[in-house]
Amino acid sequence: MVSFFKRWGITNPWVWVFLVTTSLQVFRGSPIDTLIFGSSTLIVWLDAAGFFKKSVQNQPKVSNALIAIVMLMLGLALSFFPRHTYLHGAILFAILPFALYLAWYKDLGPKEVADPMMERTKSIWRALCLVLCVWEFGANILGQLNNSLTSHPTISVLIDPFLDTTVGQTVFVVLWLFLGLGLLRVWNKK
Amino acid sequence: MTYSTSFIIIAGYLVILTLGILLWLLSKFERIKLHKVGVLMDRILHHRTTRIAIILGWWWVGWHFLVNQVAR
Repeated sequence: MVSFFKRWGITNPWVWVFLVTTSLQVFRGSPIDTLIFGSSTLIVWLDAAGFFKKSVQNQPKVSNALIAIVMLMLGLALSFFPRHTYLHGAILFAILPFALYLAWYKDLGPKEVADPMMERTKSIWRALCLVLCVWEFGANILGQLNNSLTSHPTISVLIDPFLDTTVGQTVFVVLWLFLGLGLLRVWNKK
Repeated sequence: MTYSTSFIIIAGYLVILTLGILLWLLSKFERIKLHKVGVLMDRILHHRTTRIAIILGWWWVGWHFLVNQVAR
């Protein structure tokens, strides 16, 4: 029975993370976010269930010069043009397929068994992330029930005013772009 | 009542943020017996499903703050 669930990707925790987040977006009444998280849940589940096994490749190589140019252009465009515009929407839509393409390489061989220190590291960070999610979801749900933005502020509500300034928007864009670059592991350090 | 509730929620975020920064710094400078965040991320990003999930989550954060109007 367990192997059946595992084979169909149902035991993959990321499928559940996205499914729960999709449910929250339904509760929030946000159709676009529901669409984004619903589609993401489907993509993650299809991959976890092995539907994309035959379409995998090795990790794509990108030159550091190209990465630097793209980062600079994205940084300038996303920082100095106003938020919530079609330009930002178009740029974000353009980033997604490239980011997925760069992350869509096959697994890096069999995973080594975690040593006790790695188990401890994983457990502590997992617990912290879980507490943050519960806190954020709790604030969101209580805020929805009280129909108030300020009585139970979410991270978005707290950060958004800071992003209304050029400095705030620039800081966010730079951090967000570099976080993405770090997660994609495409920068050649040698 | 509203003030105290929002204060508790913000304090909670600050505690979590402080703990995260402390954990990151202590592991970076090897003051506690934990792997560095980079080593942990290397392990987490090993499987494609996880990579895709994390990249989708990262992309949504950008979408949420730069394109969407934040309602909540």
